[in-house]
Amino acid sequence: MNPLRKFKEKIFIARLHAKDTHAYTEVYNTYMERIYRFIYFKVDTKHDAQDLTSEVFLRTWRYITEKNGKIENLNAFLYQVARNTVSDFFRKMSHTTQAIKDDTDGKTDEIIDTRQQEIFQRIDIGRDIETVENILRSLKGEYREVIILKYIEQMDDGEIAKIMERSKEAVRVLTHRALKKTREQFFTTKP
Amino acid sequence: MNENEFLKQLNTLRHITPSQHWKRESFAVLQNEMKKVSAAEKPAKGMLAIQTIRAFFSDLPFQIAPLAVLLLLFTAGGFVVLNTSQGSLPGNFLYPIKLNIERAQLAFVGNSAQRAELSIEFTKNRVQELDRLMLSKNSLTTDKNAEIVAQTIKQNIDRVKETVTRQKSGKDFHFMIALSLESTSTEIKETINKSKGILSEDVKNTLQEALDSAEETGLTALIKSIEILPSDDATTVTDPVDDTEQVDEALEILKTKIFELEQEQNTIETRLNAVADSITPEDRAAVEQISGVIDTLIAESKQALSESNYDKITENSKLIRELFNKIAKVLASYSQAEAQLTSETNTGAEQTDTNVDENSASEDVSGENTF
Repeated sequence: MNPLRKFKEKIFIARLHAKDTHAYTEVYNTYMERIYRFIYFKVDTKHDAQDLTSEVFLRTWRYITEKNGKIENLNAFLYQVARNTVSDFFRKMSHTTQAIKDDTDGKTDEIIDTRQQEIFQRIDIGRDIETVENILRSLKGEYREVIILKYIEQMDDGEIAKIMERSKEAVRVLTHRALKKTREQFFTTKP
Repeated sequence: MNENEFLKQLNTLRHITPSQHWKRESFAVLQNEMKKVSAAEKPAKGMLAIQTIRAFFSDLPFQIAPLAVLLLLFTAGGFVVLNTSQGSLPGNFLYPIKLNIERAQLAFVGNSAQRAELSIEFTKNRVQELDRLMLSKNSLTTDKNAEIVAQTIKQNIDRVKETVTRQKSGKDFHFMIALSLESTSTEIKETINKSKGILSEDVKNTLQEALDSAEETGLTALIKSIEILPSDDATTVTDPVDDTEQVDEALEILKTKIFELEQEQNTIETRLNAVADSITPEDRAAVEQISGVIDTLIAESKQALSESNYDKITENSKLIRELFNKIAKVLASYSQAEAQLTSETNTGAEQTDTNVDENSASEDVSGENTF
């Protein structure tokens, strides 16, 4: 990030810390669609994606205003809130599932894995295989995230590293693996 | 399909966006949340300046910092003034600066669609200013300043109206404008309701005109979002994903609008009964006659909706709004007179505004027939 942009972002974050509603409106307008897309590929329905996106912006605003929380990197912060919001959502869902299934230990990962298996099955039997969207949904969590951030949101490795709390090198390796997996899925399912 | 095409296909997923209707709704929820903070504590502008200075210095090498101090002394004044002016109200010496900044923003915006969006945003700022002005204790100053703000609201809406009328294409643009104007109208209505006994008749009339214009423009925009074809005009925003869904949403809103007119129509009888003791037979007959015309116009609008005759709906809605205003003026004069009478009967000890109708826009107690 060039120094001028960095400085501008610092001023902007200062405005947020001063609880400036106009600044937060700008945040909403700038990030809302990106956060929506990020969540959209993680959940089953549009409706859930919309609810969770709203939740992300409410949580962030409350963090700034009620907890007087400080933000270092706005972009990374919002995506982290989005990840946590989705995790909480699946955690809540897992409680419901636990009541029904005695043999599950209630972990979020298992729920997600089950969903992925279902999507894989759908791909195997040849339904809905054409869309890249379905393949993206079938990828495991971190692969999916890195593909969204790198190829849909066009972020550089540095930005992705901050969001995913990994080193740039780790992001590069992850991107390579994720892309390989996506490509395999795409070309094997494509007639 | 080669690698590049595959990556391109991945990039097309960027077009996945939430519906415009949800965007507005979600933002309205957030705005309500933000209002809580605005009401509880005003953003600390002074703190903002200090934090900005900190942000500035944290990025500079130690040796350059003293030079930066000198530079900052020359520029910081202007910067602080610009920031502080954002929270100013009419009557404050910084207020003209705020308006000029907004004018400059409008002048630098690339196209008419964005200019219209920005005008609506500024209108919302003005409505919030009016709300804050009404909390002021000095009623004379408040009214003078409120008149300036109300005029600006009207001018902004008129600017949007002009763009909506002129812009022939762009479904998404019109749908977005319709939704923005819908929430703006609600805010203006709430302000008019709150202004009872605070703002003068002139200010309220200007606000009512702005409201009528906002509703008319919103309806025109809504209908254009249903009727016209997607644009290839570069100045308009396009969303290729949710087109059918958007048209369905627009039609749903249109139905709701007709339903709202019907609901308002249903209140007329109750409002007439509220002033039954004081209203003259001539005025009562006139109100009932107008009410009958409104009934017919609403029925026509419903029919027009089923026939996709949207021009008819626009025309009828405008007429219905004018007729509602006429009825409101007559009933308001009687309800004011009744309120005054009740107040005198109750030894005049307390202000009894409770008999005044909710939709009363007038404080004229002359009882003069406005027909």
